[in-house]
Amino acid sequence: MCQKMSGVIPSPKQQSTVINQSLKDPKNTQAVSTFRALVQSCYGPTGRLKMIHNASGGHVTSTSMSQTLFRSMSVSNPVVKLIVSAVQSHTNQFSDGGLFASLLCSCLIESCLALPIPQQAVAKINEEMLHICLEYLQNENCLCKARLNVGDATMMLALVRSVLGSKPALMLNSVDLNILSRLVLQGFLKSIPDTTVGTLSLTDVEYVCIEGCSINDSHLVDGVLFETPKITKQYLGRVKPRKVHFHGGTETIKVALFNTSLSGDSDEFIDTAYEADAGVSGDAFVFQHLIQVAAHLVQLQVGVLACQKVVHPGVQKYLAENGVLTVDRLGSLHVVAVQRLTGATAIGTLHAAINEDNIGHLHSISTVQIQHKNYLHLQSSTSPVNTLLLCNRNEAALLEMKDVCRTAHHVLCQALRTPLVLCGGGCTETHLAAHLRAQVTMQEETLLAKLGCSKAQLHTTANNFARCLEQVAMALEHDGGCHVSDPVNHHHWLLPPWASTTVPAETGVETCACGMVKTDKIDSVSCSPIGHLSDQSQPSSGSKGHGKHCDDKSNCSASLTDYMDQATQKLVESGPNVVLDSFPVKLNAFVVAVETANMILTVNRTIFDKN
Amino acid sequence: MMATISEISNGLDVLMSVASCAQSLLGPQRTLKCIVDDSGPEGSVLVSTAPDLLSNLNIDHPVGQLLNSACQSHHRTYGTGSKTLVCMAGFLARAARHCIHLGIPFSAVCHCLEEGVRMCCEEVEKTAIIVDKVLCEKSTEIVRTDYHTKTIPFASVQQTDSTGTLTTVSRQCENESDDVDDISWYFEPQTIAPFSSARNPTLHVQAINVDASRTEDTDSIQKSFQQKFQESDVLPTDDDEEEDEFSACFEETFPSKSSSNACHHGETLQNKSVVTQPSKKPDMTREGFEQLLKSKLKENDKNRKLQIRSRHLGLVDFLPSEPNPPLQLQDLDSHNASEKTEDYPKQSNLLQANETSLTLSRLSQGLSHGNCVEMQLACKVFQQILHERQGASPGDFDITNTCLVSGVDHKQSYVTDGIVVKVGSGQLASILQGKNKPRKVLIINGDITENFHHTGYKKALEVSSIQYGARSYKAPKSWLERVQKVILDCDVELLLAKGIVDQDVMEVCLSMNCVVVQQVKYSTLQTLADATGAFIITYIHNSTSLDVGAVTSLELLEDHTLQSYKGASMLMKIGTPGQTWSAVLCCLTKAELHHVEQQFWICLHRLKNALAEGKVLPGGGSPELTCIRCLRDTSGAHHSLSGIHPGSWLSLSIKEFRPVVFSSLAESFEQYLLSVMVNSGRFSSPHHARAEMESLLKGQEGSKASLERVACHKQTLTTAANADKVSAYWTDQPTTHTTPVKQDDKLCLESKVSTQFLPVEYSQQNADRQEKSISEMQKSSDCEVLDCMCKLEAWKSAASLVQLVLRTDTEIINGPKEDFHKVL
Repeated sequence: MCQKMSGVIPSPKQQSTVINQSLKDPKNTQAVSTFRALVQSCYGPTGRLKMIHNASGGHVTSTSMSQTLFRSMSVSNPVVKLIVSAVQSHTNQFSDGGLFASLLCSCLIESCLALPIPQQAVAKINEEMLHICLEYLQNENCLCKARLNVGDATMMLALVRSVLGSKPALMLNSVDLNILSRLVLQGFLKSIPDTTVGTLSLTDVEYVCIEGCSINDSHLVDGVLFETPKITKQYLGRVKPRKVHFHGGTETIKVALFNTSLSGDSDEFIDTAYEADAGVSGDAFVFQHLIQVAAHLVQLQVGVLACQKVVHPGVQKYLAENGVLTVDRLGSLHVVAVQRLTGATAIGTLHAAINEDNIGHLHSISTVQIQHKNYLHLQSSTSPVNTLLLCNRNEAALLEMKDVCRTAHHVLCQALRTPLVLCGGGCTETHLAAHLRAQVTMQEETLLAKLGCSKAQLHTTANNFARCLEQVAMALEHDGGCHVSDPVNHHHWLLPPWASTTVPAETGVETCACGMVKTDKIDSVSCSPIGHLSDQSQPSSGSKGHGKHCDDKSNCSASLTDYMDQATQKLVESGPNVVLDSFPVKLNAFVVAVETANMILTVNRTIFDKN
Repeated sequence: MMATISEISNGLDVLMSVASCAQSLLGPQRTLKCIVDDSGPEGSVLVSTAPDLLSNLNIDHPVGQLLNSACQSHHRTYGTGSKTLVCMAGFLARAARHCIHLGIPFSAVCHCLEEGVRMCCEEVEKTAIIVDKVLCEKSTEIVRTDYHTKTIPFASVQQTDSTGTLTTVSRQCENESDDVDDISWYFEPQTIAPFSSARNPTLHVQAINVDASRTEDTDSIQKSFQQKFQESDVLPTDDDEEEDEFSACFEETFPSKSSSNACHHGETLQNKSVVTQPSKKPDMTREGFEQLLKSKLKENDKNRKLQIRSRHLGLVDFLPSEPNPPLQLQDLDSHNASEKTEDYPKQSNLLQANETSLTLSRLSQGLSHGNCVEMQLACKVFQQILHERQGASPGDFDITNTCLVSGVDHKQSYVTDGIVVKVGSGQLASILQGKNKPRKVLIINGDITENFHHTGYKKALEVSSIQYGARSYKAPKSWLERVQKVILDCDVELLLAKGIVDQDVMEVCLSMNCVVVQQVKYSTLQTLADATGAFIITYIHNSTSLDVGAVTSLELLEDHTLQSYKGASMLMKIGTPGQTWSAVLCCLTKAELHHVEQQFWICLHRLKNALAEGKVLPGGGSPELTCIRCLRDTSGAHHSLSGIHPGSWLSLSIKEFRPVVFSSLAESFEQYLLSVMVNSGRFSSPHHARAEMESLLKGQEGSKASLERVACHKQTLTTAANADKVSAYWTDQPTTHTTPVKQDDKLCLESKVSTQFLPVEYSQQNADRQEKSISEMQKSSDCEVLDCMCKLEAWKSAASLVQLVLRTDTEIINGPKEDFHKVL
């Protein structure tokens, strides 16, 4: 920053001041706990939004998505930085599940630091807990996991709906949610290439945001659509892109795609001192060169010149006179889409010959007017690229919508690769917590031998781990409801805060949070509250209780696989209401969270160098 | 850099306080806001629209910025209704805050809020009135003849056998011109004749109206009836033709002219494209007119009643309601009216087309909401476009431009064909040279200077010149020479540029009789390019004859010579082969210019929205009353619960919360209505206004039981009846009534019939259109209507904004400071 400012001599390197900060330093613990509170309040379908802006004003971002949140937030605390970067690397890979990972991770760190057990030992036990969980989750008999039939639209929709529905910033009601889920699914299906040669690409679905109309107006169009203020219907009527007959007699428009600037300035020339005869002007020379390139394109019978950056108006004029439509200022996003659509190779230089191979093809080009704005619509008959027009009244919601749809599309792509799903709504977490407690009781001996810690240490840490999972499940709800887990399936139930009993049937709640277990299936069993900050002596009895129920698996009747089978066969009436989480996403988020927490727990000191 | 986190607990408060700034802008009797800016070159600006207000307020709080962005986006999309959005956002925020204070979970509040507003929108949509299809289709077939005959002001018994030809109509006009000040002929035989009959619906309503609005004796019904009609003289006319209001006025009022062309109603079709300029008026006529004006004003003062018109309340009487009207509404029956209409003959296509304009003007009248001058201009533009395009969609007015003139009275604004631009006075000679002959035009998107570069151009390739030996080289032509050559070669006689033009080029052009216009808006350039066939180019020196378009004429609008610090400038009209229209908007002070332009576009948008949707909402606060009614009647809320997962306890308890949230919602609609009522200045206190509103609500609920009461209210607050009245006004058929409002047929009939006199009232105004002052014009819009989508969308946007704020709990500020306690 300093070096960039001309005239300022960079200050000499300061002497290193090493600030020795322990992990348990109040600054750290406070930052972690603030961070935990922050992500916790974002989590879930009724999560709260965050408004992010700069101290000096500027654009206000309103979001609850981890991706947007972490991108627009600058963090200085080293511990929080570690969490954020770990979660960001997860979301770069999987898009979804960022909040889950950061919440679990910060919960673990916060609670483990409070445990009266050495951090190293805690990390070791946590590692083992993760191992037990993973073993169970990857087991064929895992009760909260099921194979997703990708051909079944209801379940695919349920998956999309779970992703979209957990983003409160969209402010969707159920009707809108269904509309949007359907559109995302349709876009995904369209983007799957028809041939086996094609590849599945995340960029095959483009998103165009239209502000000021209702979500119902959102729709899907083939091809690419982008805003072009100057190419109006009248203009297109006068500058008709030339069509040529492709082999086989089909009409096609040839497209040349540049990702370099054609603005006629010095950008494309080596920055050096040029000397020339007095009659030669730099501008005129560059312009002449551009005209030569354009003439070559005309010779190749190109119909459309698409450019990521600016095209010199003189060149545009020359091209227009020769039946070539110029589409400039595409931006890096649209260039990729146009490239995928046309199959053109982006030309990055003005100095090399342009081959026929570099040229792409278009089926049709037209203008559309939406909300008083001109859009150019490019279509190709061969490409799976399509554009989802997203409408919303609210700009903030619209921006979020774009990101969420991209996330949902990514989740769908992953479901194609790994068609497995988990129970959503916190049921997986409570189920896993119960399993963990039972396993620790069952395998106590082997675990103690393996870890070399005391019995109390094991139980306390294991119980803490399970409680963190339950806390994550509880974070899904923000209105003060009661959270209980049934002793049969260990699913997550949300009861009214004023409920006098812990029997879901008596409070009128119909299903568990994921919608899989119905009240009538568990009869009038009294459920136990979860995630309580119980004192450290309590957990042993709690884990015993859980262990008792999970001892014989036959008791745990409901399995997600069974439920999915029923849903497809008999069409369970609440079928569409089931909340499903993508297995690969959640699994990775889980691993990232625990591993990062363990890594941080083993950190003893943080050292700042002020340079 | 670090993130600072602070709790947003006051987001709703911010929303409320920002929105409260816009409250005084609501309603037609609004007040303007003056934004004082000493530093800017513009100085102080008067604003009347919410987007202007919000963008001029420097709001630091993120919630304020969200409100601003929502408002701007609504304005961009619909062009109007942003005040509703801002104010409703404030009132809804208050409702939400109230609910939160009561301890309702915020998810439930969000859900019920959305549900409530959605329910309101559905209810209100049911009351929408279909705009006559004639407007949109403009077919030559005779559609809905009954309707036309009824609404035609000149339709009289004498016309029974007429085919609506010119001769018949002009006979009427002669009749009219015989007696300028006597308006009694208007009521014959249609209105006056039935006056004696108590069964006549027209009279009936009229009598009630008068009774309710008069404060003294009920004996003087007759007298006040007359007065009312005389008062209507000064009400604005709907100009169902494009002719300038001046000319129409003169033509109608002066016998010397009227025989030839005063029959403008019949002549509309022929006159469509004629645009009369105010400058062409003979002085003699003006003098005569002034006399007339004086006499009218005098008369007007005598008869003025204490009435005020508000966009939301219709006609509001200053005093509370009167005792029951003396005439019984039960006497009415629908046969009377329908029989009457059947007597009328079918009209010719000529009158049919005329009616389209009339309906349009009537629609515009209803939509004007106090901005009569602008609305009339907008209406004219629409008529032109509809006329020219014969069935094209009416939503397209991108061929319209505005030109702003300050220092001239507001009423001098007019609409003309072609494109009006401001030119420097130095161009006078060039313009006058071959004034009306076609010229070639070149349109430049940018500056015409040597060093101008297009946007996106960064740095020129620097080449240092080297001269080898003594060899002489041919110097390239200078830029100016190239420009000169282009102008010569292409024979350019009109040059328009978006930016500034080099002084040398100006002089070159002057020497070649080429008119140069600089600093033209891009939208104008685009319109001109589309209309003339010219290409918009960026660099003048590489333009060719292919880029040149043709304009049909250049004309100086001599009336407006403006002096400014930049030198004198004039208005020039560019005639184009393609259709283009310009509105020359005048106002007295520069500060008002922006406001006037805004109002014009708002009017145009309103008309467009209404026509594009094909339906309008009854105005006068009726939508809000509908909402309040349906929100209070929560038992009727059978909308299925959605959005909340059935597994959550919230889905069970939402029914407990709903009545509370709904009643808060109703309260926010009440607040909205009240602020409009208070703005109208008719109510001494908010309590007074609330009392009126409550009594009106009661009246609406028990419409059958207290029919008289409603009727009584009808005049004082034209809301209850307005729905039916307006719908009758448009549909004119009680049987095919499209509004499923619960009110009974009697009321419908009553209101339907009441519209019969409207055309009379409207056309009457043609006689003395110049006399109207703004406030008087407002009175005439007896049937307030609103554009449907815009209003509902504004509500929905406001609701979604409040939801957004409600769902936000934390503000994260990125910055170098460390003075907050919670730092990540």
